[in-house]
Amino acid sequence: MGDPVSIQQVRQLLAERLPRSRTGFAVRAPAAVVPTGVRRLDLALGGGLPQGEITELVGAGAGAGSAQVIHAVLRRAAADGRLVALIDGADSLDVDALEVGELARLLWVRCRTVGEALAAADLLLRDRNFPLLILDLQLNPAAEWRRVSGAVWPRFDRLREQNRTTLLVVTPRPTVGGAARRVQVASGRSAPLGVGDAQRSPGEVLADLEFTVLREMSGRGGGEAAATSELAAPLGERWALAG
Amino acid sequence: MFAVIFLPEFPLQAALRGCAELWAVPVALVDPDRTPVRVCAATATARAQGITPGLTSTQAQARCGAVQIRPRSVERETVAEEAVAQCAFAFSPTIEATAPGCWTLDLRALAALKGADEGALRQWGERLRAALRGLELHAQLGLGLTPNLARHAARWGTPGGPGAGVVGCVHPGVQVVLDSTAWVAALPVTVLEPSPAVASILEMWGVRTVGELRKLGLAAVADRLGLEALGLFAAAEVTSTRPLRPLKPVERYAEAHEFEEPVDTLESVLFLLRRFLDQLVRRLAPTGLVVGGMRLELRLESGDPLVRHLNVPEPTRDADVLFRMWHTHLESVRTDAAVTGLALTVQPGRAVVRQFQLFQAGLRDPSQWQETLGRLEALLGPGRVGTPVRVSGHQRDAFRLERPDFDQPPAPTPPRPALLQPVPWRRLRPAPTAQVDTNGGAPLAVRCAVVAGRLKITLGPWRASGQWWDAGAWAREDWAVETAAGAAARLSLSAAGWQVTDVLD
Repeated sequence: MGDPVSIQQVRQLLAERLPRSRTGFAVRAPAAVVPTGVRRLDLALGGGLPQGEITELVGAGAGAGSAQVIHAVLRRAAADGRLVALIDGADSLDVDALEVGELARLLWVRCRTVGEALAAADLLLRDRNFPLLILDLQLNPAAEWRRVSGAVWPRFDRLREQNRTTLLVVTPRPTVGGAARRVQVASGRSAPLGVGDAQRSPGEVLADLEFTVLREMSGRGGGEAAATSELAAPLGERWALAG
Repeated sequence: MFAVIFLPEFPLQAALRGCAELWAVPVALVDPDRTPVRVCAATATARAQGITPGLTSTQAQARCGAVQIRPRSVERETVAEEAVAQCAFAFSPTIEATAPGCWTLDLRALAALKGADEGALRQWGERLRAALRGLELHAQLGLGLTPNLARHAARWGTPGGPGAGVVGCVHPGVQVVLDSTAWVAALPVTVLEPSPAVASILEMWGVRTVGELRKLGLAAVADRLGLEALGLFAAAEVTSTRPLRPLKPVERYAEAHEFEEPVDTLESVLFLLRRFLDQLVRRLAPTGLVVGGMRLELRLESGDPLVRHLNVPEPTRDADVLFRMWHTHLESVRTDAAVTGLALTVQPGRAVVRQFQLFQAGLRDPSQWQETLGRLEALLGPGRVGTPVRVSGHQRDAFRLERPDFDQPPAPTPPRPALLQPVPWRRLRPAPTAQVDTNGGAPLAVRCAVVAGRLKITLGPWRASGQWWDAGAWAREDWAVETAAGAAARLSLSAAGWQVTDVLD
């Protein structure tokens, strides 16, 4: 006779093997993610942008590499056949750096101010047609930020929750209150990206970027209490700890 | 079997279509093309006040101070005729525009009505009447074995009975005549519309019904009344048929209205637009077509009309969706003058059936998307929202924005080799001008709002020019530079001077 097995263990096993059965045990499904096309960023986020959540990408100063990440996300979305809307807060997209096929699946919203960009984001979040929105506010001056109401982000959070839209907000400093993840991007050395980097391939530049998870909110949408942790350990240290 | 649709007071119905409340008040329709302007039709309330066709508008106003004088509108009558023809065409493939306000339908080819009894025919007629009521047109229907019989049935209804009018008939809405001889014989002779002189002679003779007239015989009556007798007997002939002149309804779905007074608020325009859309989708419904595009013409007091076109990304007959599109669009429209009228035309199309590629995703709600696109354009202005398409040539940052069409798979194009893929920069639009210190043409230091400082790395120049053969000629010299603080940028020297066109991020 083998080891006695408790009824709880049997139920747990059934719940794992037959997740739809009513065993009384909830098995957490792996969180759906939207791959970004940047390997190190995907690793930092646990596979990609959490689907239906807000992720904030903080570009630590000029030349941090936020534009490289945005282009990589656009390329990856096009490769996956996914529609994507880029709300370009300062009208700074480099169209020449994208392929024809990548541009065809892109809605480009060319804004001039943070106010316009936030209003456009609000409309597109309500629209529900775009599963992935990128709100790029990296180049918008600080004077415009001061006029932004604090109620914007909770409203966006409610909208993305209703419509299951994945929102990536690119900001020059930590701003987005309701972000499920906040990641800082920086060039992989002490200096920002330089003209030498412009002579390399986009893949090589992306491979050198460093991502630091500043914030991670778990338990969203599952009826569990949300837990927020503000993290500041560099990516390398975090993976070393995990290993 | 034939059916005739008869619209009593057709010009008045066309003029008051969409204004049902006016039937309850005295309204006189005048013909503006006649001098002096005379009343050509009037509502029952106006007739009760003594306003009859033939009066001048002044005489009509003298008899009833509250009477509303409306001009007869050929445009509105044409629209009503088109609407009736399109509706009738959904019930029979052979229709004829017999006279203004009168259409004849050949029902002999309709399998559903083969051997149908009176009840079934009446039911069919009621369906047709209901469809016309949906278009705000009140019709009398007659069904008979010949076109002439059906015409009499549509026009006069049942002879005698309670509530019989001046002519001596009352119309039940749908009059089916299967026993033609007895029915025609019972009709008052006045339905043959004799001249007043002949009518008085017939009255003196004691001839009151069509049957009594026919008993006298054509030859005897013609001897005494002359040629008019031939016309009376021809009108009373209901046994012979004739080929119809088939009418093919025009595929034009339009509604128009002229305001009594110019309006300068959006609400009035939207109110009418909503009614137009309801009408037009009702007209489209029997055909199975949907709205693929719309054209709105706002007629302005200043003379020049304002014309707007809207494409419907997901062709539909949902009036709510179509109305939302206009509502959104018109919120951002400003006119130089007040609006005196508007005309809405919809382009009919087939419903879209899509087959996506295996991993291709389309829009979840194209109609909602159209509305959002309108709002975005209103928010940001023209040329700020769309899908970028690169323009061929050597000019950097040359692109145009196209209206997004996510339902079409992108045209296959060979990707650039990895080595040729450029690292993306952040474009500065418009490019700020910069003060640049140079040495032998090469920049040494740069000063502008975006980037400033001594340059530690300077790569270039890359020279390019184009369109030297026309007025759009351009020439520039590009430099990639890095300041001592580490900021990378691209400088461009052109006829406009030094500019910082990009920064690396």
